Amino acid sequence: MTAQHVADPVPTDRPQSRTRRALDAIDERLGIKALEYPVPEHANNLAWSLGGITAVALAILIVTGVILVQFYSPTPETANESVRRIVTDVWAGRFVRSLHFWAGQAMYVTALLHMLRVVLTGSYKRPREANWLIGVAMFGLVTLGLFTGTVLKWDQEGFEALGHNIEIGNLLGGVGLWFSADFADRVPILVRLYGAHVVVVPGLILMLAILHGLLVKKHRISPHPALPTDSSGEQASAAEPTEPFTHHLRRIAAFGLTLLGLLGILSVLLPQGVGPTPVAGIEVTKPPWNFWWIFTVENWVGLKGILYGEVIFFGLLVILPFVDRSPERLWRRRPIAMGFTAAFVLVMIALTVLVNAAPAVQHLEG
Amino acid sequence: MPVSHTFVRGRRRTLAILVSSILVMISPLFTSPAFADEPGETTVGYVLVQQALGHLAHDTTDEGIMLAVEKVDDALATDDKEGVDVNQLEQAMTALEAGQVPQARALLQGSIEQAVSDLEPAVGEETGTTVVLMPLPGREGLTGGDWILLVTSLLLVLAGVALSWHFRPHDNIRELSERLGPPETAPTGAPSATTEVSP
Repeated sequence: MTAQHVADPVPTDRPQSRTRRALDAIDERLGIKALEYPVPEHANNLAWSLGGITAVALAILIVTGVILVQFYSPTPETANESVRRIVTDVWAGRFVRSLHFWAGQAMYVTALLHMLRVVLTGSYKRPREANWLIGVAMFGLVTLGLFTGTVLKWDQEGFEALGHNIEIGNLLGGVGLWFSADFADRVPILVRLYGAHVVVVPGLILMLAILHGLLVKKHRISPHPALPTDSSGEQASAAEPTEPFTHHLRRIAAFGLTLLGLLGILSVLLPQGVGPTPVAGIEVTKPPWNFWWIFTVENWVGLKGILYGEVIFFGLLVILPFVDRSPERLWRRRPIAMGFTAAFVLVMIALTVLVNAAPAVQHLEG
Repeated sequence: MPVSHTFVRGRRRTLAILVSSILVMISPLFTSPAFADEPGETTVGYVLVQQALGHLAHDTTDEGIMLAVEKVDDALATDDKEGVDVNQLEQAMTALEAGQVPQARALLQGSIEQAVSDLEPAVGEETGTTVVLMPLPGREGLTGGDWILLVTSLLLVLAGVALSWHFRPHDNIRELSERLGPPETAPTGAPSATTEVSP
């Protein structure tokens, strides 16, 4: 089949329905049909839709987050209590809060899977290096969102996470000033992290997501490594069938609906509780699983391990497109890159699992 | 196709960088445990009592009680007992030693009532904690509303899966591959590719 699956034009000799006329009127003003540009058919696969699914998770986070800020009180004296009230007193509060938590987890996982897909298919290669870097930055912001969200609960786990944040800020010296309590010592650092969680982090993610999308449009959907490409090797072959981009959006919406349902089930069956109000000077909790790998490193080399670990993790992601410059995209023809990727993933998994074998170590000043 | 020397050299360099990166990444695995500096413990009486309460909130086993006892011991021994009711603190210690955790918690909390009531609004990294609350569990059984949400979520999953299937691409990758043929090897001679193959 070589036919291009592009929407057929509406026949002009047939009377149009009111709905069609209304849609045409809207389109005339908003230019929605501009989204019907053709994309290669492989773009509609699940693997190529992971970025879109991540965006759906972000949308769920924003909607549930807007609801939660109506009831959350970001001062140290009241924060933990207000989270408890959301869970116990606000109608469907437990569900909305859990949905927010699980959507955050989903965003982290789908973003990771999306990045892994991009690595396995060589989609970070020329001319898409800058977009890869934007993706890495977005992943860093997702991690920051998870971290600040953990602190906002203002329970023992969140407070200990904050303690690590402050210590890292102190380690960084002037560069880490914003992360330290000294930056604005008459303002609770919780309030500043709240601002970061609800404005700075999502705002930056949205800005970068728009840029990410625009660059995908500019560079076009990356070719599938198992299919022929054009002569440059950077685009899908002209012989590959296409579908309108709106079909891609339509399928992402369907995947998104599935994700929303799954998160709803998780939110009902595994809702999030709240830990005890925080106490300074004790270290009795483990961080959320997303940070277990770095917690293991910290147990081995101390607080500096967090800094070194994060620098190495993101440093490797940043240099990837500049080190692996071969135009090959098929994994079988990229043994070095694939070996490196496998080692990277295995080390991360090993460090994550090893957290359970790590002895309890006090890292923070009492 | 002849393989150029620059290509081979570049591949070696790439390999070297990747191997170095891996070694740097896994180097913590081979270092001896180097724990953080010994933490400096507080001598503020009410904070020590809060730490005892924190241990009890986190762990009500013998280990948690033992840690709490240590903190109460420290609180009784410290010079800074401002706002702390020593009598209640001693009663709390007795209750802890008898394994009466709920009673001990109430006494500990009561012993610092004066101290926490004098606290200024929290700034910087202060906790602002006056009462150490026990953890709130996530769920204690499904209510009618939970069942409605559960069924609705399940319906969303089914609808999403059905729509994903309905909107699936006309051809899967294998069909496309059979029709279009296998991928070519990387076009090293193409104008845009020659510049990117630095090796």
